Order: sequence, then C-alpha cells, then structure tokens
Amino acid sequence: MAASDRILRFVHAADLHLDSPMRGLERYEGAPAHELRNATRQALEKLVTYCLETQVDFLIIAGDIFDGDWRDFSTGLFFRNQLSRLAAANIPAFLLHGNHDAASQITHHLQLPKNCHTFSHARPETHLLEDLGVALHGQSFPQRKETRNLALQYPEAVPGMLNIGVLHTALEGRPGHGTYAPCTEQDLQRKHYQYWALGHVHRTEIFPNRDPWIVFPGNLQGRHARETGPKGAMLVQAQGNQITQAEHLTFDVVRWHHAHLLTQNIRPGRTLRDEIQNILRDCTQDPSPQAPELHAVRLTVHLSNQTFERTAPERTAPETQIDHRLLEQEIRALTYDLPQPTWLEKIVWSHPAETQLNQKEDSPLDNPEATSLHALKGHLQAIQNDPQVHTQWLQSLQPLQKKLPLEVLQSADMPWQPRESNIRKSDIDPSDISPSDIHPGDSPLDSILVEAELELQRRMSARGTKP
Amino acid sequence: MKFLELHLHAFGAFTGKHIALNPKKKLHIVFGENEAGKSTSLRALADFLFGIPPRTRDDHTHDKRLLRVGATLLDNQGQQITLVRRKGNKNTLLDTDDNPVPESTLLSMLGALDRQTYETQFGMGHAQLRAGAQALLDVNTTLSEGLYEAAYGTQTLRSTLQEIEQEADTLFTPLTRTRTLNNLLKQHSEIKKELRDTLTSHADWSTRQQALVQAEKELHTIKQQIGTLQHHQAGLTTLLRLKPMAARHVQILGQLKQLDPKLEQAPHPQRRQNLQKKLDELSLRRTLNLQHQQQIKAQQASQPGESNPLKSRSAVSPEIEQEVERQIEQRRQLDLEHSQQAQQEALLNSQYEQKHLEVQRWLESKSLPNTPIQRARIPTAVQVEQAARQAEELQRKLQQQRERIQTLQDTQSTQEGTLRKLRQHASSLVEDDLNRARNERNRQWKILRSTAVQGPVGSTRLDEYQSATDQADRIVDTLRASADLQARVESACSTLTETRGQLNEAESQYEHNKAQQKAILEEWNHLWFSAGLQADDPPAMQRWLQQLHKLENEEQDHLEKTNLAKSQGERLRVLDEKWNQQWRDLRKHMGLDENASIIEVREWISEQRRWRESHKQQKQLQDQLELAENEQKEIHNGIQQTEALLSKLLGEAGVSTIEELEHLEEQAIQYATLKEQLAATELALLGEGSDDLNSILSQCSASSTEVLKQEIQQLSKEHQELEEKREQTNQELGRVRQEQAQMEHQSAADVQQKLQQQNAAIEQCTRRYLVLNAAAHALRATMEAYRKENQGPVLQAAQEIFRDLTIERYPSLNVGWNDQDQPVLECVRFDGTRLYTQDLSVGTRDALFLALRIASIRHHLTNHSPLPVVLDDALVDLDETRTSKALQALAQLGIETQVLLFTHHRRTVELAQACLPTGDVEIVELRSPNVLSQADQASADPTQQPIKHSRTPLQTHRESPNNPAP
Repeated sequence: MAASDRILRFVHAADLHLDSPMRGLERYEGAPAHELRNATRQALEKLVTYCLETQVDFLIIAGDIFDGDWRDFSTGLFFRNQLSRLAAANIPAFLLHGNHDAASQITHHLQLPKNCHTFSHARPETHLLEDLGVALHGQSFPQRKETRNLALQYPEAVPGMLNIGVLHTALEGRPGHGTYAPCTEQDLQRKHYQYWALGHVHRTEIFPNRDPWIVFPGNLQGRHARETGPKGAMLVQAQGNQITQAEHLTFDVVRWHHAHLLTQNIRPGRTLRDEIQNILRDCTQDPSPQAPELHAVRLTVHLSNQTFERTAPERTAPETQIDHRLLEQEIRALTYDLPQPTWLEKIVWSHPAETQLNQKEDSPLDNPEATSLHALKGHLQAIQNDPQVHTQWLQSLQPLQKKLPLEVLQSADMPWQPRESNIRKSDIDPSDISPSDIHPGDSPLDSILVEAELELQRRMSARGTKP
Repeated sequence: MKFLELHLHAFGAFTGKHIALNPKKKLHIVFGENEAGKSTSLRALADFLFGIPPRTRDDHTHDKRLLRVGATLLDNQGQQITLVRRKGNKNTLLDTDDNPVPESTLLSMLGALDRQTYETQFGMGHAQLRAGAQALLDVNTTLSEGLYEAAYGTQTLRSTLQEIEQEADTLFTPLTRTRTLNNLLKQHSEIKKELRDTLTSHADWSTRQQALVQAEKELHTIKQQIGTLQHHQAGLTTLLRLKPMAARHVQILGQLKQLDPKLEQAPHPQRRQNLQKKLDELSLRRTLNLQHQQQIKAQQASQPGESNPLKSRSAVSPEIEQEVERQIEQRRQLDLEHSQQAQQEALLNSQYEQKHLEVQRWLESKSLPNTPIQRARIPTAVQVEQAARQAEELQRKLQQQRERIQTLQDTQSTQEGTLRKLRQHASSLVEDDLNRARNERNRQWKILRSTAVQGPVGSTRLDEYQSATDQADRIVDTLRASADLQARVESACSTLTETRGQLNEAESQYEHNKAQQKAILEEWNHLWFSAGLQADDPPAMQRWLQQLHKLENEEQDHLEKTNLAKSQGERLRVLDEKWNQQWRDLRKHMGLDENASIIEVREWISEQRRWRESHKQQKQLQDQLELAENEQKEIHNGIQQTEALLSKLLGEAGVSTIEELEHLEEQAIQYATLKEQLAATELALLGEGSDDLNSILSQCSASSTEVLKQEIQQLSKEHQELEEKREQTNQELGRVRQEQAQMEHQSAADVQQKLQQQNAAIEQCTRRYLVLNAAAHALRATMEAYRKENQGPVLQAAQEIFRDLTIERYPSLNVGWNDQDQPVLECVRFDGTRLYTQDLSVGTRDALFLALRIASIRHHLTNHSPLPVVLDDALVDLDETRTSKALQALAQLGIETQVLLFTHHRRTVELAQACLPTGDVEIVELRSPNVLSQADQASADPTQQPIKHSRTPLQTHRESPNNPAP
C-alpha cells in the first residue's frame, strides 16, 4: 500500500506522432527552417529530459506514438532510445497502442526496453505498482478501426490504490477525430478510478467534473495550422489514492498560431501593418522557460466593408489601398524583427460576411471601371454560389488536379473539397477564435476568391480607370 | 430599288432575252443548268448597274459597240423606269429611245455604292460571298464596325485578363515541364523518390541486427580459439625456456649422489668458531686482571697513613661550615652598608647646609633676618596674588578711562571747531532786517511813483529803487539759506553739550578710581610692612615670594633626607650587634676560642676537608682490589666450561681433533650449496605454473629444442591468422553498427519534412494559380456578359440566323481576340467550345458567312434604301436541311429587299418549293441560248420536270435569241 504521505508524480502524454512533419510551411528565404527539423522528436526528448530531471515516478503514453502510415524504422529506434534513457533511471513507462500504432509497421517490430509495459490488445490489463500503491488499467487497439466500447470491459478499481485508466478514445466524438473506442463520460465514471489518462484528441481537455479526473493531454507537438497553441503533456500529482494536482506542461518546439485581424477594428492613425505587427508580437510572446523555438503563424485578415470602400477605385487613395501581394512581403519581413523566430505560414484573406450579403443590393455604379469591378465580384462569387459555375470551374481545373500530389489534393486548404463538407470548419480549434471573429464562408475557396478580388482590384486600379 | 425585268438585248450569248421578276415574291430563284447563261445574267445585272467593263468577256457573240443590257426598275418611290446600258466611255446609260440618260438616275437609287462595294456587300457568287464575309470579319474595314463594337468596351478587362493569363501561364500549363508549378511537381516526385530511398524498413534493421548477432558470435568463437592457442603457445615457450634448467637439475642431482648424506647433520662451523673465540677472550681477560691487581697493590703501598685531626677538636659538620661561610658573607655585607651610609649622610648634610644658606641670603636681600618668626610674618602667596590682581585690574580700568577721556576731549574740540565754522557762516540777518529792507523798498517805490506822476523819473531814483529791491531779495535769499545753517548750528550745539556731559562724567569716574588705587596701594604696603619689609610693586614681590618659597621647600626637602640617612645609620648599628652575637655563638659551637679570627676559623675548616678526602681514597682502592680478585675466579670457571663444550663438539662430529673437524665442515658446506642450488632450480621450474615437477622434467627431456621451436612458430602463425580474422569480424561489426547508428540518426523524417515544405510550396503556388484562374474566370465571364449586353445588331442578327441555319448547333457568336490582338469572331458551339472561323467545317463556315451577309445587309437596310441582293449558288455546300433554313432566311430577307438566288442545282429549287409558302418564291429558269430547244422542251413538258410539279407556274420566258438588241 502506498505511503500516504509521499507525493506521487507521473507524466501523462499522448499522441506523439513521432516524425510526423510540420505541414503547410513553405520554405522561403530567411525562414527559420532549422527549428523544424525533428520537432516531434525534440519534443519527446524534452519530455524525457523533464522526467529524468524531476525524477517522476512513471510515464504514461496513451496511444498514437507513431503515425500509422509512417514506415521509417529509425523513428522506432529513436523512440526506443528515448525510453532507454528512462530505463537507465529506473522510470517505468506505460504505453498503449492507439489507432495509429495499431496500423503502424514500426509498432509490430520494435522491441522496447524492460522498463516499458505495453498494454495488451487482447483484453484489458492491469499493472500494479505495489510500492507506489498504483494500479494502471488499459487496453491497446488491436486494429486501427476499433469500434467497440473498450472502457466497458475495464476492470473495477483496486481498493485502496490509486487507479489510473489508460484509454485511446474520442469519447462520444470530438470534431476532427475518428470516433474510435467510443464511450461516454458516465462509462468512465462508473469504474471508480481516480484518473483517466486518455489519448487520441489533439486538444488539451480536462473534464470539469474532477471525480474522476478525465484528461486529454493533447498532442505533444502541434503539426499544422489547425493544431494551435501550447502543446505538451500533463504532470499529475497524487497523495495516497487522491489526485491533488494536474498541470499542463509544454514541450513543443514549434508552436502554431492562427491569428485574426479584423480591419474594421484598426484604430485611427494606425496602419494595417502596425496592427499586424502587434498581433504577431502578441501571439508569439511566451516569456515562460518552456517557450518554443519557433512560432508558425497563420494570419487571417478579415477585410471589412470599409476597407473595400476605401480600396474601391473611385475613391482611390494610394495609402488606403491594399496591395495584398506587397503586404504579404512586408508582413513576412516583419516576422524577421520579432524577438522569437517566427514563420508566417500563410495569410488568408477573408471577406466580411455583410459584403457578401449586400452584394445584390448594390446598385451598379456610373464608373465603367467600378461597374466592371462590381460585375467581376459577382462573377467571382458565382464560382462559389452558382453550382453550375462552380462545377464548370472545377472541370476547367481538372488538368491541374490530375498533376497535383495526393497530399496537396486532399489538403484542407484546397478549395475542391465539396462546399458542404465541414472538415475544415470542424478542424478549427474553437479556442483560437473568439465568437465575434467567426465569419460565415471562411473556407479555402472564399479566401481564394477574396484574393482574386484583391488581385483584380490591384491590377485594374494600376491600369487606371480608362476603359 | 427592285428589278422588274432584266433585258439581255445583246449580251454574251443572249440576244433579246428578257427575264421578268415578280416584285411581290420574296425570293426569286433563277435556275439554270450549266451553260444556261446564269453567270452571264449575273454579269449583265452588274454591268447594267455599273457599266460594262472595257475588257468584257461578253462580246464573243455581239460586237463590243453593240453590246446592250437593259432593265425595268421599280424605284423606291414606286416609279417604273426602263434603262439600257451600252458599252463605252461616257453616256453609256440610255433610255428606251437610245437617248443618253444621266448616270445619277441610277446612282441615286444605288445610294452611291460602287461596283466592288456592291458586290462584296450584297454578295454575288459563292467566292464573292466568302470574300464579302471575310471582309466583314476584317477589323480594318468599316464593315466590321457593327460587328466588333462590343469588343471595344472590354479593352481594360481584356488586357488585365491577358496579364493574368500570362502570369498563370508562368505558374502552370498542363503539358510543359518548365513552369513554376510543373517544376515544383517535378521536384516533388524527386523528393518522394528520395524519401523512398531513405526509408528504413524494419527488415533492413533486422537484417543488420542478425548480422550483428552473427558477427558477435563469430568474434566470440575466434576469441576462444585465440585463447586456447595462446595457452598452448605459452606452454611450449615455457618448456623451451625450462629446458636448460631441467638439465642443470639433473647435473646437481648427480653431484649430490657422490657426497655422504650425513654431511647434512655435521655441526655448524660457527659453533666451533664461537667456542674457540670465547676461549681466547677469557685467556686475555685473565692476564689483564692479574696486571690490574698488581697495580692496585702498588698504589695502596704508596698511600701515606695520615693521622686523623679529629683527635684535637670536634669535627665540623658541613652545616656548620655553611653557617660560617654565611656569617662571613653577612659581615662583609654589613661593612659595605656602613661605609655607604656614612658617605650618604655626609653628602645630604652638606646639601642641606647649602640650601639653608641660600634661604638666608634670599631673606637678607630684603634685609630680613632668617628666623622662623620672621618667616611666619611674610604674607602668603594667596594674599599677594589677590592684591596684585586687584591692583592690575584697577590699573587697566584707569587706562581705559584715560583713553575715553582723551577721545571725548578730541570729539569736543572737533565739535567746537565745527560749531565755530558754522557760526561764521551763519548770517547775523534776522526777520527784522528783512522787514527793514522791505520797508525801504516800499518807500523807494512810493517815492518813485510820486516822482513818476510828477514827471520823468531820474535814473538815480530808479537805481535806488533797484538797489532797495535787490537788498530785500538778497535778505530773503540769505534768510532762506541760513535757516538750514541755523538748524545745523543748533544740532551741533546740542551734540557738543552732550559730549561735554560725557566728558565730565568720565573725568569724575577717573578720579574715583584713582582714589581707589591709592587705597589699594596703602593696603599693599601695609601688608608687607607688618613683615618689616618695604614692598615693591606686586609683580616683583610676587616673583620674590615665589623664589623664597621654592628655596624653603628645597631646604626642607634636604633636611628630611638627612634625617632619613641618620636613621639608616642607627639601623646598621643594631644589625652589627646582632651579627656579633651570632658569630660568638658559632665559634663556641665549633669549640674554638671566642677570639678566634675569621681566618683561623677558615683554616680549621679546610684541614678537616683534606683529611676526609684521603680516607675516602684508601677505601676505594681496597674495594677495587676485591673486585679484581672476584673477577679472576669467574674467568677461570669460564675457561673450564668452554673447554668442556669444545671437547663435546668434537665428540658430536665424531672426530678427535680440531683440524679434523674443520675438514668435515668444509665438506658439509659444499653439500649444502648443492642442495640449495637444487631447490632453486626446482623452484624456478615449478614457478612457471605447473605443480608437477616430474611431469615438467619428463616433458623437458621428452621434447627436443628444435621441435619445440618449430611448434611455437606454427602456433604463432595460426595465431596471426586468427587475429586477422578477428580484425575482419570486428570491422564487419563496426560497419553494421555504424549502419544501424546511421539508421537511427539519418531519419527519413527530414526528407518527409522537406516533402511537406515542397507540398506547401506546391499548395501556395496552386493557390496562386487558382487565384489567377478565378480572376481570369471572372474577367472572362464579365467580358462575356458585357458583350452580350452590348452586342451589335449585326452580330445579334447573324447569331440568330446562324443559330437557325445550324439548327441550334451553334447557339451563339462572340467576338474574341486573336494572337495579333485583333478582335475575331468566335463561334460558340452548343457544348461551350469556342471556334474560330478557320476551325469550322466548310459547310458551317458557309452557313456562317451567309448568316453574316444576311445580317450585314439587313443592318445596311436600316439606314439605306433597299438594293437587290444577288446570290450565285451560295448554298452549294450546305446540306438539305441547312439549305432549307437558308432559303427561309433569304425569303425573310426578301421582305425587306429583292433577293435573287442564281443556282444550277435543281434540288435547291425543289427545296425552296417545299419549304417556302407558294406565294413567296418565284422560280425563273434560264436556258442556254445554244440549247434552247431542249430547255423549251423541258419546260414544255411539265411532267418530266420537277419544277412543273411546283404550284408556282414558271414565269414567261420571252427569250428571243435570234432577235438582236437594237
């Protein structure tokens, strides 16, 4: 039985997705490329170093250690080496195979050090740490698509011990995540464990009802613009068979941000450039010692009506026009001046919702140029709104689509996903955007059309108003 | 204008041929088979309107000058006119009576069209139709204005589109590899290949792992083999090294065999040597002892036998001796102190005497006797000091007062001087003087006035008045000035008075102090007087008194010291007495005479000492002798014991003499040496690790050196080979380990990351392409819409006709831009494909041209008077359906203007009859003048001619080939 006065400390991590690359970052001159190298590996190294330095009692990895379709065995070897570091310090590690690991070739062939205990995939298994007074229950995925409710079969809590359930699940479903090993919060509560170490969902989540603690630590390292914010693992402390504290520690090397700028919020006397500089500075500021080595920022610029009016040619004033191509270069240059190394992933241009709604009501303007712009805007929007035009447009792009690599074709940022598909929307981390920031039609096609519109404005106004 | 009749009076093969056209018909089809004169008729029509060209082809039957072609026309006002054209340079247009008619008669109807324009615009033959349509499409002709006006409105859009398409084209084209995106894609597939190459499969790893295990196992085996080999080799090497030792071993054993083994028990020579040595020592000691005894005895003999002084006097103990010494020392000390004290006393006494004299002299300096009473009278230092201070204080005050009085006197005299000066300046004039002066002036004035009343005033009088006036004024001035002076005088007076007061006060003060001083002086004198002394001033007296006191103190001091010395003398005398008593006691105790001097006592003591010393020496010699005799006995015993031991030793060795013993000992030593060597050899042999001496010796004897050397060489060769093998295996192991390490560190993830970046680049580029594509799309759509809205009536009409002609296969016509940046016509097929005219099939192109021509003519007619349209087999390349549609279109045009269609296809005629209402079409059949009879027959026999089935009866053919024109 555990000595009730001793404070037990363990780390709960999940979803390492080792050697999963950072997606969506285009190399450009001056981009801080070095930090990208092996970000997931570095994150794991940081985690292990933390475990060693602070002498935690054990480590739990609740699934998805590897990417399912990644076959490079050196990834496995690296993982093994890291666990060996723990083994040298006699820190046990409890591993669980998630959907990715079940599909992984590496998992099947990798021999792990003796301090590692992988939960069986045949049935729920309990590991007892008698000297610590801890019982760990878990079951690995036998195959990728595990649709059974695994939690139901988990054993009852061992009385007098700290019971930890390890499970790879999306519970009843989480946006953007496959509903594997489905179960309900009540299913988990019924087991009378003290802590549920979950994996699979990449966003950190601690269930508000802390009896028991149900925790998704989120992934260790964000990998693309939709996995934003600090990433890491949970440090859990317990005394006797009571959890006393759980704290999210960050171990990420590259941190993703999705920043939003509403041009209507630009204060008088300040330029778009100033605002963007502020936004970039705000979102890349992290004074903590665990600050990442690189910030990757996606910036969505929500253009307001006002901006459009200002940029309309009949009110041409060069300083208020948005030359979005030039601005992109400027913003990229801004990132060089930031205190933290920063990589501008992408600038997404977004229309204000009202502009789209009011489109039809706008009366044609006298100016032939404006008329043209007006008409152009209409035709651009027809690509999105008129199914026939949309189909035609997509058809015209078929030669291109045939040439593109599958990864690019399937990218959520590409516009040929069906309009009704909500993959992208569900992938947006709601914490990244305050409700007022969300605009309808914030889709890849939208941003392309907005950009096309800006492009047309720029070129037409450069050409002058002569018909 | 419409043709009612065409008269081929004399033209081509025709003579007097008339073709009548019913103006109510919409379409006139002039049908004629080949050689029927269709082309001639067409030419005739044009020649009629625009004149017969000079180099005509139609003069083969008729002479040039006789060529005549005429027509009956219906002008726009509905008037009929018949005209004839002849060949010539001028006046070629004639009326029916051959009278020249002005050309304008026709031109007004033609609307100023020339022949070429007419032919191209109102199209004639098939070729002309095409040429006309082409001209229509040519942007540079005015004809095209109506066609392209829509295009010009989209200039900006179009150039923007061009730019965008240009940029998009640099990004991507499906077929080339040089565009940005195509390049990126190419790189992408390269990176993908790199990724495949970099990927480490678990199989790769396992293979290496197995190789690793195998190599390690192999290495282990080799190590074991080497170990065995080395062991064997070492054994042989040892054997080789041991061989000489083994030989030596055998040799020693042989030598030992020759010696008696009993020698091992022979007594050790040391024992004999020790006994002999001891015997020698004892003999020597005996000799020496005897000598010593003799010496002592000699000494005893030489010592005198002295008498003991104790017989006369009692013996003196050392304590008493010490006491005597102490007393003598004390005496010496006392004597010294006595002489010192006497000297001291004398010195101090003389000093006191001197001081006493000094005091006396000091007092005598003031004529005072040196008595104690007198000394007591002298005032104390305190009194003197007080008096002196008072006197001094007063003296200082007096001095100050004197100075103040002096200052006040000076001030007073200064003030008096000032007052004097002021008084001198002050005028004695007063108010009365002024009054007097004024009265004098008034008096003078009265005198003057009265004098003036009486007569002229004398200058004297005036002067007097003047002086009186001046006097009064002067007094006023003086008075005014002296008022100030007077004030100052008064002020000075009061100051002076004050000063005088102060002076008086100071003087009286001074006097008072002076008196006081006097009193003090008296007091002073009185003070000293009682001492019988005339006092000097206080400081002098003070100094004197101080000196006196000093001397007195010194005198007193010396007196005390003298007394102290005297008492010291007393103390010494007491001590003397005490010593004398002790000395006496001592002598008595010693039994000496009371009067014995110190020297006597001392001699006595030394005598006692000498005797004691001599006695002691005798005793010592006796002791020594006894000691020597005892030793002698001891030595003797020792010699006897040693000799016994020696003979026992001889017995032990089994010999009788010492010499024999010595020989035996030599042999024993040799034996022991051999034994030792044997042991050392055995130890060396066994020291090589083996514990079996016999086996070593047998091995050594068994193998020859040569064989051993060969074996060792063989083994080292094998060893070397194994080492090489081990090295190889180690290298292999290292290689595999390195490969594994590389696998661990050189991860494909880097390449994967690179691939992702490439993807991102592709995505970015694609996005850009899509942006441009969307923009281009919008531009095109906008241009399209604009064109549709602003499309000219010609194109509009042509589009409708073309659509109709192609049975909706080509629903629309557009104006686009060709490579030369010129607007061109685009035909939009039902499926959206855009085709340029050159891309159309011949039939479709003809249909297009026809549609364009019809539309163009219609447009022309909107603002021009109608002119007949003449078509020559324009429908030749159309299929029947399109021909029917074309005929309908022409009939439609016929509503607006006369349409003549020349054809040699009977099918056309039939189609026209089938698709058009009967009243709309008129068929005119031409027959060649040369095959007239056949034509006549054909027309005469309606059953054989399809035309005869037509409900439209053929019009009259009033052909009279034999009737030449006039």
